[in-house]
Amino acid sequence: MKIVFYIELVGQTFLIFLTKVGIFSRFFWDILSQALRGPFYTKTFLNQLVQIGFLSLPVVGLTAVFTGAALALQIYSGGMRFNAESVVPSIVAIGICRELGPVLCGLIMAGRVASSISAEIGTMKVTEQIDALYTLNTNPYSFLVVPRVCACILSLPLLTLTSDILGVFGGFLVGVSTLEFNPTNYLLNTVKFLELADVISGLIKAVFFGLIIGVLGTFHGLNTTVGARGVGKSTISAVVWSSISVLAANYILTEALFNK
Amino acid sequence: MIKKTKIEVNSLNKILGSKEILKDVSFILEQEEHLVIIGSSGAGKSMLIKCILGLENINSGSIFFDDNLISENSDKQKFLNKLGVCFQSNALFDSYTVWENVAFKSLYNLSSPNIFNLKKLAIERLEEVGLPTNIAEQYPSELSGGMQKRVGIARSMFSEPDILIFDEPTTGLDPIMSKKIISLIGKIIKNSKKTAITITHDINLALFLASKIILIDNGKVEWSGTPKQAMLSKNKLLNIFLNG
Ligand SMILES: Nc1ncnc2c1ncn2[C@@H]1O[C@H](COP(=O)(O)OP(=O)(O)O)[C@@H](O)[C@H]1O
Ligand SMILES: [Mg+2]
Repeated sequence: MKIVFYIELVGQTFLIFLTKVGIFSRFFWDILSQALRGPFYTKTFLNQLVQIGFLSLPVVGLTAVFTGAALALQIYSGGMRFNAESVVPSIVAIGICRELGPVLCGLIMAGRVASSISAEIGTMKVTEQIDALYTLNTNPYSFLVVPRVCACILSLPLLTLTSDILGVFGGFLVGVSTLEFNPTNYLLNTVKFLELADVISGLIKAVFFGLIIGVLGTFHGLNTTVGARGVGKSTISAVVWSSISVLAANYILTEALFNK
Repeated sequence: MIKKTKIEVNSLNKILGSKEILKDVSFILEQEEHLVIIGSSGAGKSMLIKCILGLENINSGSIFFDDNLISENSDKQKFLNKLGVCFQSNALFDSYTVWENVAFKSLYNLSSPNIFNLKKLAIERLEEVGLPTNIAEQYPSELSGGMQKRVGIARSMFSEPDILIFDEPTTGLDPIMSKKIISLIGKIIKNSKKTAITITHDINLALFLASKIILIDNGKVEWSGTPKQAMLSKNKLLNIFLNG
């Protein structure tokens, strides 16, 4: 009897999972087809670019500076163990550009942007504004979803590039103050071993993170069920699922972009 | 004169999860008729409207508009374009000004909208619903509930729709404001000879405005008839509504 119960449980969970995958695939397809069909709301897109990208600069920038600074200290104490303190500038740069810049950006944006997109669209859903859009001959996918997803896809690499620069700068500050590096040497070493591919691979990751954050934020917003509690629930789901997806995608993309 | 049938709903059923929200609902709405759907809260009135609008999928039944079956997506949008809907929760867009809300349909759908003309038209609509024109540049959140309701009504009338739909236009308003909104809707319908559907749980509104009343309870049509028939009816539930 017990075995039957567990098999049923597994089966049910699997079915629910399949349904979710189905709903999500359908949503993704709807975004794509609506993006191609148009219209494209340029003004809304630019507005979202400011909301999503530009206004995230302070938090992303500060995170990058502090992380770069801490990274420099850690690599210094690690490097000291085999007399390789001089690797600090290059390892900081490579670590930030390949990994920490895009991942931290992705996680911060999952918290800041996926949540706000989901809460905004979710509130519109429960106050019948989404229904109203349909009756006013405006497709919510074109009007709400596509501009936000596009703004995320464009913002994330730009923010990542900013955090690459500021992260290296944070390392530089600690390097020349606490660690007493020569400023010129520090900068020369930073550039010497850093390859364009390091930066590019990070930016490619960021594009996918932007896609994930935009799509999951809008998805949870539009699937909000009744009431203020519904908005809260879908906002949590948007943050949790986009954070996890960013980290999972990061691993998959790192494997894909890895060169020996 | 035989009046044209505008909307015909045939044995509509709607199931959500395991719950039957609408059971075998049928009715006919003729041209220049004002149908008032009445019923207690949770009876399925809003859901019925959303099914008719195609915002919710139906499980079985059929809906005709001007004798055309509404099923294909392209039909749905054409049909929607002929309706003006005023939602229960107003559904005003809070990041757009009042006049942008009113003119929204044209403002965001024409390839090159004439902003000046649209604003002028929006302000005319605001006057028609009895709002001061200086609120045009304000945001919906800066207005009182009654004013927001009027903005919603102005928006639904903006592009001269064939059929107007009002979902609980007086719910949440004080009695004086309710009276004003009721007479405003009465005026709009009589002046422009519009076909309209109004949802309410306010029997006075129904008796005052309707040419036909449908009473919905628990997702089913419990009673239907004219206001005169309603006054004479022995239907228990209807009498509860009538006697308060
Ligand atoms: N999205 C939904 N999910 C589940 N149940 C719903 C949903 N929307 C409405 N219902 C249920 O459908 C019934 C009818 O709701 P509604 O049409 O809003 O009633 P009203 O007559 O007050 O307008 C209610 O019992 C409500 O709980
Ligand atoms: Mg309702």
